[in-house]
Amino acid sequence: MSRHAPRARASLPILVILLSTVATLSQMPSLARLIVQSNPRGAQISVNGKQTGQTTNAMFVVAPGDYTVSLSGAAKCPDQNVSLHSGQTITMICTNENWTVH
Amino acid sequence: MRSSSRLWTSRRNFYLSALTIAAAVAIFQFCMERASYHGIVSSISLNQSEGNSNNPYQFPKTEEKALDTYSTMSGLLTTLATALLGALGYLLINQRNGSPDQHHGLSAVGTALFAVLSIYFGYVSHLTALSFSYNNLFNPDLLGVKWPSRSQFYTLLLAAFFFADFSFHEFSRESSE
Repeated sequence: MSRHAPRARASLPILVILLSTVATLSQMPSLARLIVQSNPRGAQISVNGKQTGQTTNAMFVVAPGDYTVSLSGAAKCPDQNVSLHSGQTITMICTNENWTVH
Repeated sequence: MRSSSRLWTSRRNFYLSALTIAAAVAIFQFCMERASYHGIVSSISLNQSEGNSNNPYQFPKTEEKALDTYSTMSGLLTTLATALLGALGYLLINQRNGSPDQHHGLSAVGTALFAVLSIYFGYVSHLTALSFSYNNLFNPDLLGVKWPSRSQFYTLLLAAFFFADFSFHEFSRESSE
């Protein structure tokens, strides 16, 4: 019995590593939400310099990270940088050439 | 003394194999998620949903149906993988001829391994569906949606293949006795 105890103890860290690997693996995909609105509506939305094909008001599901949002057309506002974390929702409203971000 | 040493070696090999498989799955999952989720994953116009003051970001009906089908299929595949594990356990318990030969044993290990992986990918599919449901968006063409579902199906297919091999040997051995 006592001869086997150190071996059993040695297998414990392996088991802990194994379980923590599985626990780390089984997480929800990390996503965030970006809602872009404008007054008036119908402005074309570009994200990181690329046209998205969406007009205001629209919602984007994005990977966490830094984004630059710009509008053209019906409403105009200066380019706005936003930083999104996993699970976060940011709403950007463009009114009178100014952004309100919350 | 020699048998206890052999037992310890086989246990150590089991843990090391399990750790290697977990690491391989971790790398696979990390690479797939990195490829799936960068920049804009999906978008929706909020102009059509105007007028519903309770929920301005209502889930579109077609996407809701697609998500429902995705979740149902994932649940069905998980049930099949669990049934396969049960059938394997039943055959192993009811073996008449003592311990199986090496090839036979490998088929059993293959069945159990791929069935467990299928159940795991089923759980990843469930988490993906949950995340997309929360974000009011679902697009079955997205890589992030496709890869857990495909992995679940193909690992189940491999488990079924190994199980067929195992049961074929089992029954042919029984009939030859």
